[in-house]
This record gives sequence, C-alpha cells and structure tokens, in this order.
Amino acid sequence: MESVDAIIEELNRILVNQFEVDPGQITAGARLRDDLDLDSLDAADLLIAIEKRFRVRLDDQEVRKLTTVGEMHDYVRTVVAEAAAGKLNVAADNEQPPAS
Amino acid sequence: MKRVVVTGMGVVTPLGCDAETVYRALLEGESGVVAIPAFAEVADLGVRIGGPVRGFEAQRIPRKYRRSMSRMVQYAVSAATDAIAAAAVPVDLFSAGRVAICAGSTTGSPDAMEEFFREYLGTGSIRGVSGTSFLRVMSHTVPAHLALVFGSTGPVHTAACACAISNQAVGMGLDLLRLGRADVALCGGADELSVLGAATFDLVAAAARGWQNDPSARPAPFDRSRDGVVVAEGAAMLVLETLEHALARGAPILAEILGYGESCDATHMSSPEPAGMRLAMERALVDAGVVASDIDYVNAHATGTVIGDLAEAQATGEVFGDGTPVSSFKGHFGHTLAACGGIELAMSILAMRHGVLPPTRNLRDPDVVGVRLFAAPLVTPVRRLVSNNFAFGGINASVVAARWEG
Repeated sequence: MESVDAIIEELNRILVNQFEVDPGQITAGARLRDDLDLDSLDAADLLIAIEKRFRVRLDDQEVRKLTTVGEMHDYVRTVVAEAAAGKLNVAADNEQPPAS
Repeated sequence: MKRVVVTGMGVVTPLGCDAETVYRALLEGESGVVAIPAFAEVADLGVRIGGPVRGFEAQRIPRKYRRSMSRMVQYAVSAATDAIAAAAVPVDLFSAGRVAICAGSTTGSPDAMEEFFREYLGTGSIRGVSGTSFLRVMSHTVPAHLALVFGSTGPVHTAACACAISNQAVGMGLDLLRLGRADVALCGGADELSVLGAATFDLVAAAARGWQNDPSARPAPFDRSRDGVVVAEGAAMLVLETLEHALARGAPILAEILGYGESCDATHMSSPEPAGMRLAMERALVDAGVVASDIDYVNAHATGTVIGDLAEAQATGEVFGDGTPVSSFKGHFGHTLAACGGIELAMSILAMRHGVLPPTRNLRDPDVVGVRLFAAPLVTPVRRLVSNNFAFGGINASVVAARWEG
C-alpha cells in the first residue's frame, strides 16, 4: 500500500498535470470549485483519473460531497486503505484450509 | 444583394501557423509531409507518411475551454483567434448575435472515438470514459466550441461534407450575410491526423502507400507517378463580412467573395464525375456574375489520386480552357481534409494579393491535358480566382473570390 504522503503527492500531481492547477494554490483548505475553478465536468474527469491511478472504485455520491482539497485527500486515502485491507482479507481467506 | 468580403484569415497547417509565413513556404516549395512511425504499427495499413501540424501552441487556449477540445478543435480555435484578431472584429458583435459560425470537421474527433471504444470494448464498462468524450465526438464539435470561446450567440451551422467542408462553410456564410442574418461569418474547417483518416483512403486504394524514406516526394497531384492521397491535418478560418459593415468600421479588406456553387454527382459514393465538378464551377461563376474568361487562377482540389486528378483536370479544362493557370497545394501540405478548402482559399487570396501563384509541388511529368499547369512560382496579375474542393459522396463545391481594389 502507498504511504499517506505518497497518495497526497500523487493526487496533487493529478491536479497540476491534468487540471493545470497552480501548485501554489494547492492547500488542504483550498476549495475545489471556488478556489481551483474545477466544475462538474472536471469532477467527472478527476474521479476517473483517481480511479485509474489507484485502481480503486470511488463512490459517486461521496465524491460529490467533497468541497476542499483536504477532504479529497482524506477520502481517497480512506478508500485506498480499505481497498488494500480488502485485498489482505482476501489473501488471508485464501490461506484457510479447504473445508473437509 | 449584399456584397461580402474577407477581412481576416487564420491557418494552422503542416507548414506552420502564420498565414503569410505559410504562403512563403509554398512559394519556396517546402513540404509538410513526414514519416509517421505510429502508422507503421497498424497491421495491414500501407500508409507510412502524413502531414502533422507544425508549430502549434495549444497552451494559448485557456484550459477551461481546452479540456473538452480535441486537437482539431484546438486548431480551429487557434486559426479563428488569428483571423478575428486580423479582422479586428468588435467583441460586442459576438454577444449581440451578429456573428454566424459556419464550420465543420470530417467526423468528430477520431482520437476521442478511439478513447471511448478502447475503454468500453476493453472493459465492457463506461466507468473510465471521460465526461467530455461526447463533446469531442459530436458532429458540431468545431463550431460549438468556436461559439463558446468567442461568446457568440448568433447562428451556429455545421458543414459536414468531408473534404468540401471549408468551401461549403464559406458558401453558408455567404448566404447568411447576403440574407442579412449576420454582419460577420466565421467560416472554415478543421481535422486531426488519425489512423481512421489514413485507413479510409488506404481501404479504397486511394492512399499513397510507403514512401517513409522519401516522404516529401508525395503526394504528386497531376503527376504521372501519382499514387494517392497523403492525409494531413490543420484548420483554417476566414472572417467573412458584409461590405457595408466592413467599410463602416474601417476593417481591412483582403478580398471579395463573389460567389459560390455546389453540386452532387449523384452517381457514385467515391468515384469522381467530371460533369458534377463542372456543374459546381459553372454554378459558382453564375452566382458570382462572371464568366470563365474573367477567372485568372484556379486552385485545384487535386489530391494526387489517379482518377480524381484526371476527372478534375477534364472538368476544369472544359470550363476554363487551357489558358488559365491551375495549381494544387496538396503536394505541399498533403490533404488536410475538412481544412483544405479554407487553407487553400486563404493561400489563394494571398497569392492574388501578391501576384505570385505557388505551383503544384512534386509535379514533374504531368499526364493530364487541357489545363495550364506550371512548375515554378508564376508572377501574374490575378483579379479573380476559383477555388475548388470535392468530397466523397460526389459533393463538389467552388468559391469565386476577387481582388479588393478598394
């Protein structure tokens, strides 16, 4: 699993490279719509970019609730952690001896 | 009937993105055709060369607009920006709804189509498809984006007949201005280089195959050795304006659009018909109120296909005889598809203004008769010209332009 810092760094890199956000504007409190000028079309593409980069599935409803960069960081971090835990659980399940 | 003039022109081409510079490149015999390594990776595609745009700066378009733009739209917006700046079109004319936008592309963006189907067919899901995908695929992607960027609330019309698109757009704009539905019309076309474009001509044996080691030798319009189209990309936008409006605001007048004519062969989807081509030229002359002997230069569509060039030479010769200079610019650019008519009209207008006609590049051994071709830049006064374009579906479109004497 990627470290928290690496996830945040990667999310910020997406904002800069794909959405041409000025790196100096990226703070935890920066508002996605009002400060970074990302609208609904951008939000749809941001969701796709995050899902592809981290190989996770985001909840559309939850994504719509995100208003700041910090909230986005927290949400994606949580989803990535849960996905990693799920994979561990699957692996652990697979180690159980077959029922006789 | 209102008279219509050209007050601005902008181009994005394989030979650069500044109209005067591109015109000079034509006179110097430069080629924009190069090897395209990506084509070699497509199984069974014989095409190895193409004409990619040179010197284009996408960053000049703000991201907010650019995010839903394919390359072809970016080219169109860039060309339009230059044309509008050259014409100094007042900004409030757009918001007042007095600017018509008439433009198109052969299809929506091939890049965007590939992107959609790669995701959808590869995964069976649309989850990874961009929300802006349709905005790049839709048939009016070029004119709709032009209206958005310039805040134009007037008519938005899509020209859609493939390689005749730019000329059709000029014809549409001419009609709207004559009818008084607008004071200014932004007219042109755009396309992007793609496997789809290359394959289209390859599949019907109308593309120049190979030549990756000597790309600039193709295409060869009207030459005995010609072996097909070389696909290219680009955009051109012309600002058309009623004469009275242009004079009232002191706009720079580059030429007058005298007339437009179009026809459909209605005989075959891909095989050209001289009678149909001739009809478009004759209708354009009638619309312009001139006769064939008034025309001092014919800019040919001539893409370098075996039968297309032959049919065009026959039709052109039947209308204008063998004394009127004729040349094609496809040998320099390749075939920029929807953009070709606009680029060629812009270059022909510059040639008319400078009195020097670029010749057909790669023409060494003509095998067509009945028309006056020339191998070197031709210094000659041009008062009126005809620019021709023809498209799959048997669509023929001709524009008549005249030098502005002021």
